[in-house]
Amino acid sequence: MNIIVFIKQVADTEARILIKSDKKSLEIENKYNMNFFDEFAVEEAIRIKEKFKDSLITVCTYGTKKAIEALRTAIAMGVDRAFLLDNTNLDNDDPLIIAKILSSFAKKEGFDLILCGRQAIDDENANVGAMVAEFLNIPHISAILKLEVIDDKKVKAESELEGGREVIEAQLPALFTTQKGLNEPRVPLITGVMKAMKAVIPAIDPCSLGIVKEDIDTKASKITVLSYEPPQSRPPVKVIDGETPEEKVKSLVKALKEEAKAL
Amino acid sequence: MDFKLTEEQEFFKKIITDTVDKLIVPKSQEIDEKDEFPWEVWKEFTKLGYLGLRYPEETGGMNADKIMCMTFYEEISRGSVGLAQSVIMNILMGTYFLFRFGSNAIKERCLYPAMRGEKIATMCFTEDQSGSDLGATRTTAARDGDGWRINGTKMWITNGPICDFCTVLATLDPTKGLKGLNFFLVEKGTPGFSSGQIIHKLGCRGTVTGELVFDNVWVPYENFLGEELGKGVYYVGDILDEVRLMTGAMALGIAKGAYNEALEFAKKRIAFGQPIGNFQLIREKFAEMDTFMNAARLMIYYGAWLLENGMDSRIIAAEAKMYATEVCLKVVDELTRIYGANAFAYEFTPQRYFRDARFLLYGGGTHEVLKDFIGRTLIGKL
Amino acid sequence: MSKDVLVFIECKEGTVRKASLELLSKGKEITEKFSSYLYAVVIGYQIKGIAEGLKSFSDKVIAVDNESLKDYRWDTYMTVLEQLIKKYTPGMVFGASTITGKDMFPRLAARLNGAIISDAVGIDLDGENVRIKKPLFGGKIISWVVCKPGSTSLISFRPNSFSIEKRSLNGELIEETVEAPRDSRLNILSIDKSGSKKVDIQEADFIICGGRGMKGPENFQILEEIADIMGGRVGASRAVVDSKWREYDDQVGKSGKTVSPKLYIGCGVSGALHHTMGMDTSKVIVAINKDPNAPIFQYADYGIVDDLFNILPFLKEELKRAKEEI
Repeated sequence: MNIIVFIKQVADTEARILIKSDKKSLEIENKYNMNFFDEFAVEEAIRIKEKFKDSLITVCTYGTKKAIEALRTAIAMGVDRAFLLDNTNLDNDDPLIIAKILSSFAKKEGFDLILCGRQAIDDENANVGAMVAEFLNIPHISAILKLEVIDDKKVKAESELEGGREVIEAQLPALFTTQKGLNEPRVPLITGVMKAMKAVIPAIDPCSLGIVKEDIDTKASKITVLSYEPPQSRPPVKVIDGETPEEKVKSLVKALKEEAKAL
Repeated sequence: MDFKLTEEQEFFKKIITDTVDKLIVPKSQEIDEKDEFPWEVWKEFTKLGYLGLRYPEETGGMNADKIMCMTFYEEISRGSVGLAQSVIMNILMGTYFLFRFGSNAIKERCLYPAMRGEKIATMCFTEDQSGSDLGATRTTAARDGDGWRINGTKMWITNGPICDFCTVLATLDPTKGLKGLNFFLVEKGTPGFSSGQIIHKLGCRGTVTGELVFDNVWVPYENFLGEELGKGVYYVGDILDEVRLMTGAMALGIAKGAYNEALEFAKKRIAFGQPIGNFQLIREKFAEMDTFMNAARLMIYYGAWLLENGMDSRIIAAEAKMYATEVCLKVVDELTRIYGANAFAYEFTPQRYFRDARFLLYGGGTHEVLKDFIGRTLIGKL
Repeated sequence: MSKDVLVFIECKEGTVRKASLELLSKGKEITEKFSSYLYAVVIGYQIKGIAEGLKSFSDKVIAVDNESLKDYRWDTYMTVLEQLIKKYTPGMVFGASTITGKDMFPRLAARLNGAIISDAVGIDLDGENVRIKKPLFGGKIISWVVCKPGSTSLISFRPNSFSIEKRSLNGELIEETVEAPRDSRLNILSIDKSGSKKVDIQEADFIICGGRGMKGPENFQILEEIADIMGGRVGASRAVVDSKWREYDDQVGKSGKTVSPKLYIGCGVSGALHHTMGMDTSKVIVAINKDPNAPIFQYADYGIVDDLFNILPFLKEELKRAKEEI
């Protein structure tokens, strides 16, 4: 089985993020991780390989050279090989373009199954997975909670539905986005860490995947960020006073009703 | 001059940081409160293979360079010093002599299982009347048939009460001082070998520290760990710098953990209508803590670099241990000031850092002894 | 590209979801300004009643009613929507950033080669420009984004982003028949909607969230009772879900659901960053915690510093009384 896992390196949730004075760019502290939801994708791929031993797991990201670290983490966990789709001089975060680049990579490498996280925790878009599936003309199932690979042609997946769950059988090749609850991502063993440290990770120019540069550069983007701003700060908390719990609750409910108009 | 970590070192640092955050940090307060050896965390962590950090790949180790080792010591101590002490004992002092001098049988029986976390190792130097003054060692070893007869009592032994084997420093002739010292392997179950009282410590809780008693213990000849009798103290010299740098890295780890707590608190704690991190006197504390920690880290890395390149690291190692520990004491002190009264409550973390930091004053050499050594070496014999 | 706005309507249990009505309300504001049309597209089976009800909210209601469209599937729904977009050529297509929206909109954007902005929270009309407000990094940064002119823009908004304005437009009802063959590569084996009686946590107006301070799963019963009184949902912090006291579906935060109810009450929730990132857009936040230094108080509008087990029984009674008064 040929498995591709698409991951993204994202700023740590605790990283300092500053808006630069032009209000059009951000300064992000050098603290990055593999995207939270992508860890489930990597873990699931490794579990599939544990069942289907002759599988090949390829992990790939579109990003800067810094993102090689996230790829190494995936190798430390147990994937076979990794590629960086180098975005140097292509600074572009339009999901449509990223999906085009990733799908070109998948086409070139070949695959039976693609896994990626439900969404990136930085832009919270949840776009790229389903878009890649569309460009590859394969079915996708979003936010899976269970995946059972029956053979190299068929899988059974459980995914979240509004107010419930559904079980879907899908023919391969197909794409699945992963979320918390699917599995428990492993902590790398030192043998994996050593393999990852030595791994040579090729940086690929997306234009070498048969894509025209004009189609993927900044100008091709269909969305433009006008400005960044900090969120409105909240007024300080009003601590409700009272002699007894009952008094406190009464004052709170009164405030919610009359002042905040929240009831 | 090149201060950049290699991509490999950078990656290793990232992985060990994440691993500590995931497996150890959530348990650190509990480890401290229970003050029992954390078997579950031990198993979960050691199965990853880090106990073979320093040893060659052929033996199941990682063959990490000294910079990586320092990163590791720092990070695991940031997570939990209680666990770190036990882990590092298996990695370094507890297994060093077995790796260097042990027979294949000894390696199979003790070293490799210890690298996998299946056996717990320790090293016994300290006695009631000897610590930094090794020449005062009173535990004796004597030839007896095909082996050795060992008698004495060791104190302050990290992992002692739970160890599966230990490397014991004993003298063949107390009148010879340092020149009489040698190392011997004693395994659990050997008649006459038992653990005595457990020490209830101010900090570094979770590590079991105590007394080991050698009452007419007999071990076979091959349990002598060395090439030549009387050279024990030279062999100690060979890892002394690494041990000192390691202790410094541990101190830096505690400081880092404390600093992180302080930073989070300063961002979140509101006083006079704003986060206290907005106040200049609080900012000054961070400026100082960061300056000192950076200086300590540079010294430790420099010492590790000298060691890695086979250069003389004696003075830097001593200075780095001393300086990093003093920095650590300063940082934990600042944490308790930034945190205010809650630092005085057992349910919050600052008090743990505050207590843990004290131990590093003694482990790896007291600062009085280190300063004397540094001064003596710098001035030379007059 | 036209200035028409098309809203993809989501239904639940035979009624239009609140999030869709919010989008129609905002859509009307835009089309009024541009003197363009507002389309409501409803897809499903036996949806006449729903389509009729939408007439007062929109200029044109397009209904695609077919048994094969009874349950949502991206393959059929997307094909229908694709055909309608091609036929009616709206400049903007709005949907809710729900499980369905997140599943279908990106794929539809790829098929149409259109622009997509997901999980937005606001719109600002600035001359000819429609500026979209979108939080990044869990709300630490707000970005203002525009779609390049000339391409269809698909925009999904977080539920509770806009208020619902009752209108009486009497729009035209258009029934369309669109061929929407199923993708034979996907076969739905079973659907379990046992949870569908509950309000969707992202749509709930009221969320009472329990943290580690709840001490154990058994203590969530009173939160359930309060949520029932308020017609809302119980949420949980990551620590609670990780301890398996509550299901993952209930998790509020960065690794769970992003919510912005009208009223959020955190009980024994410390307010770790990954939690607050998922709830700090709530309109009113109340925190109940015995630790006055808990970070949640920095996000809260109102705080009670006390043992939550002393507070909750009274809170239940007072909220019940307040509800009965309305």
